[in-house]
Amino acid sequence: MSAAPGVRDKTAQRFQMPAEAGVAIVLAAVLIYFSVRLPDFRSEANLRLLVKQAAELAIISTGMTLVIATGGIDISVGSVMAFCAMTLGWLTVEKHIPLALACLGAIALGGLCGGLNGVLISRAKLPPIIVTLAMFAAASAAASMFNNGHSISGLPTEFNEAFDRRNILHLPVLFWIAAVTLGVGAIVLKFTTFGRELLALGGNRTAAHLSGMPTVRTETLVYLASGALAGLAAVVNVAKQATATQGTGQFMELTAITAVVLGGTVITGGKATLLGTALGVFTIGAIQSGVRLFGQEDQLAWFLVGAALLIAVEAQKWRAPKSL
Amino acid sequence: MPQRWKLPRELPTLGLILAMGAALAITVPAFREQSNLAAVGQNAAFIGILACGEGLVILGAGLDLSVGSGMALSGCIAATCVAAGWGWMAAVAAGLAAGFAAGAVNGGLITDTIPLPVAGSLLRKLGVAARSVPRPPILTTLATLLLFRYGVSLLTRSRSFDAFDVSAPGLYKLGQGSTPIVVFAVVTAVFALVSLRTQFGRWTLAMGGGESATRLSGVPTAGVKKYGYALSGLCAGIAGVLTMAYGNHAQWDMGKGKELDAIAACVVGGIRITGGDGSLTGAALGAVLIALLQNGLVLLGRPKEQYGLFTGAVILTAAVLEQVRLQRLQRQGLKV
Repeated sequence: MSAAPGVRDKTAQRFQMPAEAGVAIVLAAVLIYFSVRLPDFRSEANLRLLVKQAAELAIISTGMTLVIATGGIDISVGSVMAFCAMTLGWLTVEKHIPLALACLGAIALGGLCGGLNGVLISRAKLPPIIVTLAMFAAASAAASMFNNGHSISGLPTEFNEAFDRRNILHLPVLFWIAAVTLGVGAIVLKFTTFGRELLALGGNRTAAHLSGMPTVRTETLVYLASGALAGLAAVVNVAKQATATQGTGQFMELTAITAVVLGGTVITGGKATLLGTALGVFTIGAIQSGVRLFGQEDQLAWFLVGAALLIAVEAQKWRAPKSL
Repeated sequence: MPQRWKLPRELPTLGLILAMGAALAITVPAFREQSNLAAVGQNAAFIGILACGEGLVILGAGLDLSVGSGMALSGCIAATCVAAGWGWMAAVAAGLAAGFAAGAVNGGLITDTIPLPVAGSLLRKLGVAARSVPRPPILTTLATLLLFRYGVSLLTRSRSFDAFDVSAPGLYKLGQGSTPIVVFAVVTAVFALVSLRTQFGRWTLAMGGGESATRLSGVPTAGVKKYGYALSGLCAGIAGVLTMAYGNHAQWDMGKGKELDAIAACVVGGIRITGGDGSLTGAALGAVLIALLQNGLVLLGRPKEQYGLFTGAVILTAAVLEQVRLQRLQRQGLKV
């Protein structure tokens, strides 16, 4: 990826856009277009719905940003989320375990799956894409083994109400969950040693190791965090639908990677921004909401997400970061 | 240092296939029935044809996630042509051409021969943007995975095409009996020969080993890459047309998740995921192994959804074995 030293475009150095500029422009364009064309889009009810629907993606994308910051990738998040959702449904409905405990169990299960990924990647030095591909296959198979592959309904209604109906400071609870996750992620990335180590790992693995950083521990923990966040997203998803379905989280890994890259995080690692990720998530949520309000099928929304990903990749080329 | 005779890379995969085949043949009588063996062969053919193209791309240190969508694209285009009253040969040709074109789009995007969107190149001209940085294959083909599949779904309005045995009997016959297996054998032979015996093949392997070094020795790496992806698209086209003929049905959601099977076949067949090492014969054998595994699970009465558990385990085992092999080579002081 490194170009010949000394050959560097001077003009690009003088005019360096901030990492989030691209996504901010795209988001503004999307919001203006939909607001003008669709009066329903800017209604308070729709914006509330949009925020609620984007919550899971925001949670998953936080973990994905941290993983991509180390130069890795986690393809397994979508199916781990499905596995956790089915486990949560099974624990509460069939095993009658208290709801709070079952939620913790789902998050712990996600952390376990992620931790297994992390150990295989950091200790056994296997390529992240292979390990998480295997986990993707295994976890989606595991999710389909509950209740003969049917969804589990009949979760307590107060669960749905606690997450879906309640507001804090006039904003939905789901918004706060997503915002806190993103905020904590941003603080960890920017202001903690762990966050610095993640970026160092993505910038230059050997240098990070030789400067005495606990690279194995850092790498294991970041995949564990990604898995645990997939578990949290599963809790949110089950609460929202009041049902656990095994198809939950399908394409979540693709959408999360799109949101992260759209936000300006460099796919090869070393540079990451959670503000950009938040904007990327909001952009994708707005596109999906707008397409639905236009009365179009979801297929169009996925097509547009693909186009957005391509534009995101293109935008990273415009910025042409020095490290690439 | 005298060259020691080395065991062929494909030997473990071949051994596993034989062991598994023997175990199934002895313990499950239904496995030996001719109809079942044919089904295994056909399934292996669909995965294996994809794996040949995917393997070529991976050998060149790339990755093509869009092959499943390429199947849907070429299948639906061939089906649309049949529905429009074309002859079956023309329809098949259109399907294959669509697959090849889809692959070429991937290659063009990754090597930056297609400037997309135009604004990007404009900014570059104005001096706002810097030199061109290659687009990462994983992201690009992830984007085309969505674009091809959902583009086809929008174009065909999610229409389902059926009954090719009536409308295009010639096409229908392509998917029946041993034809897919013969096609699989031919594709494997051609791709294995191309990768081992032609300049293009050697360049691909060299590029997988070290791209900068290969480019600096005068190899046109962008062109080699582009053709690799285009050939992978062509393989997806072949697999798509055969699958649609076999199932007598085509719709936008066909071949969903097949890219994972193809990558798994490559990894199981001993192709290093970071490129530069492995063989396409191995990828084809890997496909046979995966087809055997899936068939064994069916015969043992496991539901189809549980394939993933075993496929995942097999991928992981193959990756661990590869890692062990690499470390042994490194300990022997060989540069890899």
